[in-house]
Amino acid sequence: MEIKRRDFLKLLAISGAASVGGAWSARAILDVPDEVFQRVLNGPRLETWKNSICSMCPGGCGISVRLIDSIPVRITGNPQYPLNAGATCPLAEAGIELLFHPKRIQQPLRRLGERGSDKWEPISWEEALATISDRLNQLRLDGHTEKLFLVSRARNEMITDLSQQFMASFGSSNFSLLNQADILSPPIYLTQASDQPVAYDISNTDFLLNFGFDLLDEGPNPVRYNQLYVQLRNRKNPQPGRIVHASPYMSRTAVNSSEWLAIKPGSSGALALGMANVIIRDGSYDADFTENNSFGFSEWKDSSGETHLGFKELVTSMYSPERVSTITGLPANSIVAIAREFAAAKSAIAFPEKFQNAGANDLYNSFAVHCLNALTGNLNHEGGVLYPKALFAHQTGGPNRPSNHKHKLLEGIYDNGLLNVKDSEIDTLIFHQVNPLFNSSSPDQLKEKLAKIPLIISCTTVLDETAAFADLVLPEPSYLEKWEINHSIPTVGFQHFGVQQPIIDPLYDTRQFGDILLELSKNIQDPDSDKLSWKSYNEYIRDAAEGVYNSGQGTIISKNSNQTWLEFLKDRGWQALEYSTFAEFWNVLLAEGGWWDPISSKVRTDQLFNTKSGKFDFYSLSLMEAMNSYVFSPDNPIKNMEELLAKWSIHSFGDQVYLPHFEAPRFDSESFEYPYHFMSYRLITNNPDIAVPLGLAQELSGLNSREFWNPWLEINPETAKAEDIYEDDLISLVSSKGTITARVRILPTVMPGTVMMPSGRFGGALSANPAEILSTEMDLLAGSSSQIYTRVKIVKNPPKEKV
Amino acid sequence: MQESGNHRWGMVIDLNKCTGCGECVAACKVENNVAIVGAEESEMDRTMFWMDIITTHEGEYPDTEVTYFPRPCFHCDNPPCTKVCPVRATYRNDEGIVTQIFPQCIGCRYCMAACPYTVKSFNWFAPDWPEEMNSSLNPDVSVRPVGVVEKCTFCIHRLQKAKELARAEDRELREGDYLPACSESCPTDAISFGDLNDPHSEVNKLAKSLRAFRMLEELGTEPKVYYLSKVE
Amino acid sequence: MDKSTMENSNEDLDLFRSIEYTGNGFYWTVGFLIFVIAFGLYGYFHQVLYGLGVTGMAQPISWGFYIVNFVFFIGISHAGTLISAILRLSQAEWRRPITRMAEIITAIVLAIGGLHPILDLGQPGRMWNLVTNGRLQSPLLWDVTSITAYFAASTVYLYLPMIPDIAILRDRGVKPKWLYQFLSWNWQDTPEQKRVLERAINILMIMVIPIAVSVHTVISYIFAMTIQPGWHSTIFGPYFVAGAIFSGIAALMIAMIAFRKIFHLERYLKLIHFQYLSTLLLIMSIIWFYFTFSEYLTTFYGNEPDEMRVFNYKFIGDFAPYFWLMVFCNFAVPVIILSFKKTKTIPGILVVSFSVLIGMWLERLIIVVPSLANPRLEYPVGIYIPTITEWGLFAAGVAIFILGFLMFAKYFPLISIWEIREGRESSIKEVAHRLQSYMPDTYEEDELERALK
Repeated sequence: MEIKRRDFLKLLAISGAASVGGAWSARAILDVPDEVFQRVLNGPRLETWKNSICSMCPGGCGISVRLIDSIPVRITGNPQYPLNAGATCPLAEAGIELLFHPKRIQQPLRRLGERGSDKWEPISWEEALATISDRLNQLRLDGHTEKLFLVSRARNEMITDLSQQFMASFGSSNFSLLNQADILSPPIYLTQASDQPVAYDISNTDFLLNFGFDLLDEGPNPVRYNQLYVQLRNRKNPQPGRIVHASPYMSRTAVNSSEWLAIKPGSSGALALGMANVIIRDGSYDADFTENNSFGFSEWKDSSGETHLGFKELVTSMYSPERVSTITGLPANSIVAIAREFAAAKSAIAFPEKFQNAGANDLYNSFAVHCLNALTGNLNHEGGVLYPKALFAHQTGGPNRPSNHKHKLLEGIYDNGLLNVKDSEIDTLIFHQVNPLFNSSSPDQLKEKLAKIPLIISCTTVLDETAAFADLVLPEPSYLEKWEINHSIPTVGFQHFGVQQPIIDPLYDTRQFGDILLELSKNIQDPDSDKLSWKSYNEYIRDAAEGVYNSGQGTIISKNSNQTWLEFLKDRGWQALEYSTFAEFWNVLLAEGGWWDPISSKVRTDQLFNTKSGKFDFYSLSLMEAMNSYVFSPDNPIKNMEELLAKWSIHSFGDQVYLPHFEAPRFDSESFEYPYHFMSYRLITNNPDIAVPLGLAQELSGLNSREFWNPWLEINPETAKAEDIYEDDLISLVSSKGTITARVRILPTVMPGTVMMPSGRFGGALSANPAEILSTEMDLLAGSSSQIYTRVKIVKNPPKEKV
Repeated sequence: MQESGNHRWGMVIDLNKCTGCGECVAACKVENNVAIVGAEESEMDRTMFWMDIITTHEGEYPDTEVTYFPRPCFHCDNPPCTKVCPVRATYRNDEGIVTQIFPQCIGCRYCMAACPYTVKSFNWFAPDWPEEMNSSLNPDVSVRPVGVVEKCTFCIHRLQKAKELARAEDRELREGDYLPACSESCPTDAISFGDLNDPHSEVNKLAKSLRAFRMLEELGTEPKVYYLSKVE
Repeated sequence: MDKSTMENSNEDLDLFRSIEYTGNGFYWTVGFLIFVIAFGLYGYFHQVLYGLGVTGMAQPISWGFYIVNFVFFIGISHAGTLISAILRLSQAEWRRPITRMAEIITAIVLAIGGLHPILDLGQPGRMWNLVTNGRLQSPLLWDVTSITAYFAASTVYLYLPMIPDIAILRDRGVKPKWLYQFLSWNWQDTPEQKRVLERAINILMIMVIPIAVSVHTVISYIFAMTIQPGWHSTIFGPYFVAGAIFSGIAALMIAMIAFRKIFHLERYLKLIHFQYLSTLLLIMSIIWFYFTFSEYLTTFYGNEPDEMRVFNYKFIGDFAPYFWLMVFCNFAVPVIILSFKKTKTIPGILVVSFSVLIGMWLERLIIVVPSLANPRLEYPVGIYIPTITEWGLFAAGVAIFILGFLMFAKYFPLISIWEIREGRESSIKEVAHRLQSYMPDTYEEDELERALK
């Protein structure tokens, strides 16, 4: 039964009228709510199922949606989708709430009055698109196409590729992605000069040393990692693997590991180097690899005869366990023990810290961690770091990066990149599904910047903080109402893609961003430009799927999607299932939900490196080249390397700059004034990307802390005693940037002297956003904003206006 | 395999596999139309979780042992709650499931006071979902009115469906035909469910494991939810 | 009318004053009480409309004021039985001016208390399920049975001894005539009628005592039959009965002092009556303390973790202020004030009675809430903050009690007139004769006995 939008709204209105929210609203004394009456009256209760991909986080789990009379009733995992094997996380269940949320934008809006005044005029799509096309054509005429900026979200979706193509065909390279899900490419770039996607073979490893990435709550695919961790620790044959989590906070990921090592924030790289020190001195490193496949492991002479420091010398001289112990706070013999365990394991993985959780010295930390994998010979073999092929042909880089994107180190077009762009250089700014005014750590500065931009367009599903500031708001349908291909989730070892399809006809007058771009492209008046020829976004993704079909590789997911079984069959000459036409392939693809190729071809180790040396760079020539070329670049006023290093707050010099080393973290203020260290962390149930608090997610976020709909502050018992604070007290945290107020939870999983707070969107009376007080320290090399160098002081008995 | 009436439904939760993600809690809420009480009511400790997660911390920093216990109703074989209900709104059926008869309950909350595991929830107000979810309720499960007690039912509606299907196909109920939403949705398969009376079932074997224990066993309630303690 | 009757009717004019004279004070008081009751009812109406969420209860503290007040009010009802039945049974002559008021208290307070569980129901409209689907296994059903029985018995036990008094009122021509005509059941004060009445009262007197004991025992079983820490204790039956008698006496004395003052009944309610009653109160206080001490010492000594959490919550935790206030009110105050003749005056006794009522109310609170606030599983300790609805209904309960008493006093004598007269006329001789029989036999009496054999 087709539900027309009008009828649907009526349905909502009737049921809405009977159940106004709030404790004191009028409620019927009758037993049976209206909804059930409606159901009984309306339909034959026909149950159907549709497969799609979840978009509540970047993870891209396959979902199966149960529909009753074409109304979605429950979202469960798609049992055939290889990423999540039929499971979802709690956030997926809240998707239906988002679909029907009253705050959804129902048609294009134009701003009335001042920016941010929340006065809107509904307009037609024709009018909205005409406004934008006119502007774009004007930019073309003026020869200023580079003044168009597009900021999108970093998801593993094909829209990223289309956006990149659109920008390229229009003539602007100002396309950036916020909240990079791509966390691993910088160290790969430094050491391998390639944008090869990496995968970590967790299922087959013997020892996983996680340097602080809370994989079970955030990152590539939390559901998958929950499963991988449990499978690894419960493995029967071979014996279970060990997982050690080294981080400043005992997150849920640390709890689910075999052991938690409490290390000071920003010291993950130092720990890796301390381990390398022990491994090198023990001689238990992979000498074959370091000799034949690496560069810069030992001292080396350059073409002019000058001797340069090598990794070995640096590590053995400067990173003794004793020194590392003072940096990390771990006892020296723990460092030695972990190092020996890592080296002795048949296969081991050192997993780097998430970028935004690392400090203002991110890059060097993940550099060091990756070197640890190389040092112990864990690159490109089972149980270690793997290098699967990228899926789609027109991508040369990491799957979620624009295809002509050379690694943009030093250019800062990441989170707060906009702040670095001169006012005169931006004319039109399009935000697609991003909300930097909520998520970024300098919303006020960003607001000031936005005020100076002539035209701001926001294409999003719910009227969030950033859209409220726009001139034009274009409504995109929710993920349950649109088409998309979601593919190549980072760190997954096999090629895959899932098809997101509408499980219900769009409820409102919305359009997908892809369709918007294609329409705009048609309207650009320039016969020379290579326009985007697809008629609709649906056609675009069908094309991509056809590419895969033509390659003859892999298979559509099915009940028997079992990797070893398929490999067994392939060994015996069996081919993937053949479909007589692409149309048939497409139909089956939609029915099942996705495609994958479990069979990975092995790459030869020496084929992994694009470096000048042709080998793994312990000494990063790529970094050297990038830095040197930056010195001479026209955008850079500082022509002196020493001064430049000072600007980037790099305290080392000479060869050390191009080797992994420890840079002391930069805090945003002094410890005598602000004695405590403040960090925020992600809950699996609360994604700051979601613009409205969803009831189910709000209640689930509080399961452990028993604080629902509101965030809380976690403090160590020692610290609480020192400050005379008790459980459930209301306190304020004051940083050099601002103040927030929340209730206390005293927990032994927090380091003394540290205060932890969950991030995300909260809907209760005490809702607070940690971004408001987080510092804006950046890793100036990689351009990511770090979120863990904020210092705070505690104020008890705060004024009650907020409560 | 087993005739109807000889089943004894039970659950085994492997603590070495539970990561505390909360999917069981979410799945249960959506499957059973459990109300989302809102911010104000949550402040007052009136959240309704048929399946809950209890987090325990043992030991001091940094050697704390954290354990996540998914806590459904334990469907005791000797339930303290059914003894005290004045109107038989809660009773233990012949397959071991402690059920709630919502139309019968007068809301005296005696069963809530008597349960040593505090698993029962109460509808302090008429259950209200965010407006947007009103149309998306599960038609297989009744919606409760104000003033009645509710709790985990081991998704008994799924048992009914499974039995009907088996009868339609002219066969007995098989292992795996009937799973509550929590067991089905757990990403790491930490929750096993089945017939404790069936000697071949997974739960029967796991319940006899050396790692198996039940909560507050010394009270003699004979709960049918077993936990497998963590390894290492 | 014969001479004695004439004398009596002139003597006991005081006892008719409350019925025959209605001052302004009466109307003001009644008006105020009705206002309080209306406020409470408004709150209840709100509750029925929206749900029990308008109270401060939540998980885990799912029982609050309504159950506390239920136990409290039913507890006070024990005053009637004790005084009336036990004193009658033991032929204590000083009971005469007291019995009526005690019986009134029982009847009114039982009604109020008995309605409280209904206040507490989430689905009060489904109350009939208790009858159609009631399970005798449940202590709540025992409650329903036993309270109903007690209510029936005590109402009859109140009514029967009132019949002669109603006849007196009928004969005096007090308005409304039809009421007294109807209720007096054609009482003509004949010896035959007196004999039947005496028989009936005696039977009831004996029946009522076990019913009364069962009522509060069964209420205690609501808690004791669960396995919750702090509740599952064998002492609860006797503990509750003792506590009920304790609070009942206190309530009775407050009522007596109040009406003595208002209606100038000093000639009837003399210091000696209060002193005897307050001696009983003192004894109950000591018994109460004995049970309480025993209960907590046992818990403390056993040191079981779940029990100790509830124990600590009461002794040093969130509930400590209430707990120690309770001990002060229930034990320290009565013992100090009532142990010395100098302080055992009517004002002193009034202070003690109020103190005991507060203390006993706190005791109910301390029984109900802490065990619920401290679940066995690792949940945070519960917090219970009663709302205006609950306070309102509490106040309404007390107001109904006072109002009921006042309305009763308007239509019926607060002191049993015929029993006073009986006491005046025949009791002194009876008592003298009884006392004589205790004395050692004289030689003449011995011989007489032997001769008769």
